[in-house]
Amino acid sequence: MKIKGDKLTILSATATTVLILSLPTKASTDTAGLQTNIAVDVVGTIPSRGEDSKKSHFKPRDAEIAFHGPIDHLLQGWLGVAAHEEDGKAFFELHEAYIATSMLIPHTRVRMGQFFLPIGRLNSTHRHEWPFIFAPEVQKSFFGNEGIADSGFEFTSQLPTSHPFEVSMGMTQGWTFGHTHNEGFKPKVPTHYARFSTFFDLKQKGGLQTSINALRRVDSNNIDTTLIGLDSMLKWRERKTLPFLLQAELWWRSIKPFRERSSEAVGYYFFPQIITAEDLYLGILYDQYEPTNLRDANGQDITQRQSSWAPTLTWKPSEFSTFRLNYTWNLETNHTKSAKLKQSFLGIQSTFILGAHPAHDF
Amino acid sequence: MFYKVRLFLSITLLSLSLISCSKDEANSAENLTGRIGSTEFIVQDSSDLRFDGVSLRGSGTAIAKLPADEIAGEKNFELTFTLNNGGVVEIKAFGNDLLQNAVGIKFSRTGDTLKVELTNKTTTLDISSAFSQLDANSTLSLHFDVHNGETPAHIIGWTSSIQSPDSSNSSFDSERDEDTFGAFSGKGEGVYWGLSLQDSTVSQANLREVKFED
Repeated sequence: MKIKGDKLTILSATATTVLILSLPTKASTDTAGLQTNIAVDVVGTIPSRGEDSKKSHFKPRDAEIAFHGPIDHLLQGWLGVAAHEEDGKAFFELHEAYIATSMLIPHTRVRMGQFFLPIGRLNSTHRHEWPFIFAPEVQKSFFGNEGIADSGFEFTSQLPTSHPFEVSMGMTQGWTFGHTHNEGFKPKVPTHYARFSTFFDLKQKGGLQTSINALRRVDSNNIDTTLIGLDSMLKWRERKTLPFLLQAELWWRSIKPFRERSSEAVGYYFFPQIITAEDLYLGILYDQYEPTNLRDANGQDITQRQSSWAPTLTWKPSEFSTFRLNYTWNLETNHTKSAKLKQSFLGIQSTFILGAHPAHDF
Repeated sequence: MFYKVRLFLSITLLSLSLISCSKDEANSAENLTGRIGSTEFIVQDSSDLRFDGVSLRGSGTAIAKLPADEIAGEKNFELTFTLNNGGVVEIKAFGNDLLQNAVGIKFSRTGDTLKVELTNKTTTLDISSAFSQLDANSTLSLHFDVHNGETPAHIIGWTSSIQSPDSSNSSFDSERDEDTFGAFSGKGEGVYWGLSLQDSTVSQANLREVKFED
């Protein structure tokens, strides 16, 4: 669901919302009441010399408003809307709207509604919370620039084991998957997914979370899509800082039309980051993406690989604001030729959060 | 006597071999390869399709040697062609290795009338009104984005005179007029692209990066 508007309308809506939220209300004085937050993500790119200067820009990428809180003694509710710019016009769209409960089934959270599918690390988190500015190629190709959201239901359970294991399984209607400008079409098999996670406590307040993810759907044209992926987060924390962080994902996808040959691709990224000074972090994002079974018309295997490097400097004065600078080199290897530079550009990001921010997953 | 019979049989066998070779030479045009500009094509099914060093002319189907992209990819297809009266040029994108189940943009000429159709496995949609400014008698130069990662595939077309293409200056956008073009569903089900000609000439056929990025 999208609502068109201009930039003035977005600013007006945001200002009005902030004004309303700042007024004392019964809910805000209730310690178990409605919580709100606003997140704004402003991003700019400056292409390198010799590239198309018209691609330079600096503008809000996302402006989100989220509300969450208890509905009653059993249920919690979550509503999130976001504004994006497309083709020079601003669109408001519903990101998340769901109810959830952990009170009905022991050690299990159930939620129902529209939400970002909890597969992979990036897909499960809002873009303004990512540790880098731009989506790796595997994320863009498999899940879109921001991630997959859909409507359905999901169960997440902590297994009754001494070592922590968590299993999530869900099914969503699957009328759309990825970037689209329409309501989609009823699939032959709806989207269904599973995620299996475990966590390891490490010395000196470190931790490692690793997950295996799987997803499948068969769309209205009988095209069968299967995704399998692994994601990991390794980090150490000292008070409010992260001296070291390593985030990585590896994904494989198969797209098989009915009675046609499947098209397969593999992509991965890893992002190590260290602290260099108070509130200042240095990381580097490397990602690679490649269709794995591409052949020419004579049946000969061919190579088509994309990779990129993006050293990233982050200044994080608090958990409510972030400033980033990066430089990206995109390389491509086509067919029998060696890797060549496709594009390079400077990236700038500024994000801020107003209001209560929900607790982060690890 | 025996010698004469053997001679007769040898001449007969030799004649049959020569006839067979001639047929093979004619049929080998099915594997004819050539270039239109920098793009290499392989003729698939016709002996009436010929490369003349700068263009492809005649009637038949030719597949580009290199695939367009992976099945969920997106590319821009640049085409310059001339239609004889009754001629047809169709660009087929993201089809299988026989160019079946592709997204097609088909141009047909009848007299002074140009008909343009959008095709896929199950649908043929008349989009001629979006190209009413084109002269069917002249050499036509256009380029099309096919975003096959979306469902349905998102197709945007421009005339080559547009210097900075975007969705606002396109002649055609499959998502712009949902009343008319919302009838187009589906997408290409392969990775290959190529051309289908009938009594026409194609002088440019290039694969580029998309002009419009969502």
